[in-house]
Formats: sequence, C-alpha cells, structure tokens
Amino acid sequence: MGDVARGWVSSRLPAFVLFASVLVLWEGIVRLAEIPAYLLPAPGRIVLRIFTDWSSLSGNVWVTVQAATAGFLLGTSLAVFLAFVFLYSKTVENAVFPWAIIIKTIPIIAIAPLLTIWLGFGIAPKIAVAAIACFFPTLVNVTRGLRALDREIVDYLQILGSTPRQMLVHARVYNALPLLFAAMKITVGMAMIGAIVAEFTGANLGIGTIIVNAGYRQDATLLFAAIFLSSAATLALYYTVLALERVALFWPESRVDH
Amino acid sequence: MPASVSASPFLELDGIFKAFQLPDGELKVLEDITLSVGEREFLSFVGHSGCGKSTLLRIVAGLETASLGDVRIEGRTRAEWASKRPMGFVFQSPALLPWKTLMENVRLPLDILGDGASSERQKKAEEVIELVRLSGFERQFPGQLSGGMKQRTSIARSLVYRPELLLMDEPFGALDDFTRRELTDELLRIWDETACTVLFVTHSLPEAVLLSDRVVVLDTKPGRIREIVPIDLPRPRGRDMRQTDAFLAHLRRLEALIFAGEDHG
Ligand SMILES: Nc1ncnc2c1ncn2[C@@H]1O[C@H](COP(=O)(O)OP(=O)(O)O)[C@@H](O)[C@H]1O
Ligand SMILES: [Mg+2]
Repeated sequence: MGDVARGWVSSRLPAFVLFASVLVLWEGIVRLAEIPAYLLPAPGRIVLRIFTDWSSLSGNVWVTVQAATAGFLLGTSLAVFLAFVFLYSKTVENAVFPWAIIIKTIPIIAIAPLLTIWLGFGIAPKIAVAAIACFFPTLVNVTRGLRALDREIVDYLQILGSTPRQMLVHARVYNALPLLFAAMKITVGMAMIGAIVAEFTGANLGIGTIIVNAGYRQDATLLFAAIFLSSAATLALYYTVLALERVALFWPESRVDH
Repeated sequence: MPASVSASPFLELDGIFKAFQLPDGELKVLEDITLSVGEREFLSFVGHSGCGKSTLLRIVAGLETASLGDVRIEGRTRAEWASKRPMGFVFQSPALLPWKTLMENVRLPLDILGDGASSERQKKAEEVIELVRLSGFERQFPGQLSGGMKQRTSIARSLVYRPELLLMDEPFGALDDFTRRELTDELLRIWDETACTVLFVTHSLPEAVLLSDRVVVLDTKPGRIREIVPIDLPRPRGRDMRQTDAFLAHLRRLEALIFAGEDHG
C-alpha cells in the first residue's frame, strides 16, 4: 500500500513540478517585465480575484456545471438508448444514423443561438447544446460495443441456444461498457464547453456570461479567473466519470485507456 | 468399455459437402464426408491445416450449414437433437466471458438453459470445477488465469450440462507443450468419468493415439477421408502408455498416412 502511494506520488510528481514552475515563471516574468494586468495578470493576482469574487464566480460556475451535467446525462442516455434500438432494428439504424452524422457536422456555435431563440435564456438551451455535444461519440462507441462481440463468444452462446435477450444481458452489455466509458471520458469535457458556448449567446447566469462580460470590459484578470474555475470544474466532472468507471469496469483488462 | 461402432450409430455424417462462396469463385473445403460414430466413442480428426477440420466440427455444431449432406444424431436431425440438450464445444481459444468469474462462466450454461434451482446449479458447477481441478479459483476472472487454467475452465463449462456429444477443436493447440500433455492426460481421466461421445480435432498425433478409439485422417483440398485408423489400445489408458510398442506402432502408421501424400503434393 505504501508502495502504491509512493508510486502514485512519483508518477504525478513531474507534472506537478512542471505546473508549479510554470506558475512561478509566469509570476516572475509579469513582475520583472512589468506587464500590465489588463494584458496578462500574474497568477497571484488571479488567485486573489478568485477569492474576492468567490461568491459570484462559484455561483455561476455551479450553474454551468449543473447545465453541463444535465446535458451530459441527457445526451448520453439518448445515445445509449438509440444504440440499443439500432441493435434490434437495422432499418431504424439506416434511417436515423445519417441524421446523427448531420447533427455532428453542425458547428455547436451555430446552433447555440438558435436554441436560445427557441428555448429562452434559462437552463434549457444550455442543456440542449451540452446534450448535442455529447451525443455522437457515445452513439458510435456504444453501437459498436453492443455489436462487436468476439466471434467465438457469439458461437458459444449460439451453441447453448441463447436467446437474443440472454446474449444481451450476459455479453453485449458488458462488451459495450468499456467503450461507453471511453466515450464519456471525452464527452464530459465537451458537455462543459457546450454549456459555456450556449451561455455566450445569451443567458442570465453561468460562467459563460461572466466570460462574455469580462471580455467586453477587457478584464483579463476576471477572464483568467473564470477560465481557471471552469477548467477546475471540468476536471472534477472528468474525475467523477473516472471514479464511476473504476466501479463499473470491475474485471481485468476491461479499461480502454485514455 | 469397447466403444467402437455399435449396431445403430449415435452420430451419422452422410455425404457432407461444403464449399464457401468467395468473390473469385468457389472454395471446395469438404467432399463426401461419410462416417458413423458410436455412442461414447472418442473420435479424432487429423490432417493438414486448412483441410476443413474446423469447418466439419462447425457443421456438426450448427454454426455452418453443409452445402450438401446430412448430420443425424440418434436418428434425428441435428437441430432437432440439439434443441433438447445442446452439445458441448471447446474452441482452440478458451472464449470465456472476461466479465464473469470462473464460477459464473461455468454456471452460465445452466443459467441460460434454466436447468434446475439456483442452488442446484451452483452445486453442479462446483462439481465440474472439482473435476477439472480448479477448486479454489472460483472467484478469479479469466484475465487472472493462466492459459491452461482458462482451457480447463472452458472444458468445465462444456461439461456442466452433461452433454452427450462433445466437440473439441484443437483445444490444447494454443498451450505450451507441458501444459498440453498434462491436459491430455486429464482429458483421458475426465472422459472416463463422463459418458459422452467426443469429436476431437488435433494436430498432435500422439495426442490422437492416446485419446482416441479411432482416428480419421483427412486429405487436403478438398478435405475428404483418406483413412480411418482404429486405435485398439486397451483402456483405461495413461501417460505411461506413450512409450509402449503398440502405441508407437500406431503413431508410425498415422505419420506414414499423413505424410504419404506429401511427396507428390
Ligand atoms: N467462413 C469462411 N469463409 C470462407 N472460407 C472459409 C471459411 N471458413 C473456413 N474457410 C476456409 O476453409 C478452409 C478450411 O478451413 P478450416 O476448416 O478452418 O481448416 P482446418 O481447421 O482444418 O485448419 C480454409 O481454406 C479456410 O480458409
Ligand atoms: Mg481449425
């Protein structure tokens, strides 16, 4: 156990050292070169701003995280549901899949304002954009996972006379799980970006609105503070998915590595 | 247990032909395979790689359909017979479900067939796990087992529902030589304890001699029966038999048959 902990520390140490060095270097350069804060604020100043504006910043990040999470869950569930439908009906797949591709090709930035027009300035358009951003990778991965069972496993289950339902619950579902998580590890971040982009095009609350306003006012320090916080929030979401993956992928050799 | 052909054969292959349709024409794989197998007989197939051994077993298992010909078991069609009780099949790769423990893998056929109460299934699974000497590893996942242990598990799960017909396609082909010999000896013992007919594909002639009642030697391209060699060594057999004159005589006979076609082939 001590070894494991030490292994963890020593494997993370280089990243940590690099991160700390960059911050120190950044702080030093800004001070020595006397770069004005409206161009590039020093890290210390940004951290200070996070503290002074904490209630506004944290409240708004929380709003965005809620929207991103809801959109992530919605988009992922829809994709998983559709993947199951595809498994049972090739006709539905042939009819629907081209639409999924079309949705994927539409730039998120372009539909965000449209969705705001339709769904108002509340949380709904953010959820929708986040869901759309999550949808496609999950659909593709889960569809493949449910289908692409080892040929010998299929043969074996067929010899036993398994029903399609038995094949699903004993094999296909597990086969799709690693691919589902591989997709989710990518799409949580996309959900967060989707929610922020939706906030750009008109919203009352959310870290995206702070970013837009700070941009208008050329408040670089506030921009950096918002960027820091939304990155931290995305990271927290990512690690939540990672923790769920640890639980769900309980058998050896099941992780598709990130 | 004299297990050669009895009055009414257990399994009959009647004029099996198989050709695969390829983009550039037809690939003839099996030609006129006609054969009777007795109840509780251990029958091996040997022949060069690509001669159609796996295809033949897959046809018997219903994973492929013959282009022509019939498979009849106890006087019934293959499908009809198999719907009553599935046959056992051991592939060259263990093909275990990686997300199920050893115990769950062995129990799975009973769960799928809905055989008996849950506690009864558990007990049956424990019995075959004991039979293949894997007690104590029940909670391991396949990814935590050695190649030999995985193949034992694969054998156990094929025996758990007591099939009357067991098909084995180079079951030890992917194992190292020591493990392979060990499992061959084990199979001999296991087969003595279970009452089933076995169709066994191998590329190891000593293995075929040690295990079989008869060995079917197949020709290549297209695969047809060259000769059926009875192995009249007494049973029960064991590893010590590998050095006897009778054993070696059978081995030489098979070698001569297999490599006979080589010179002008
Ligand atoms: N599904 C298939 N489609 C086309 N060709 C096949 C298929 N399965 C087997 N073959 C061909 O049939 C021949 C016999 O294959 P197989 O039965 O696996 O041989 P063996 O098990 O004796 O090595 C090979 O030439 C192989 O390429
Ligand atoms: Mg083969």
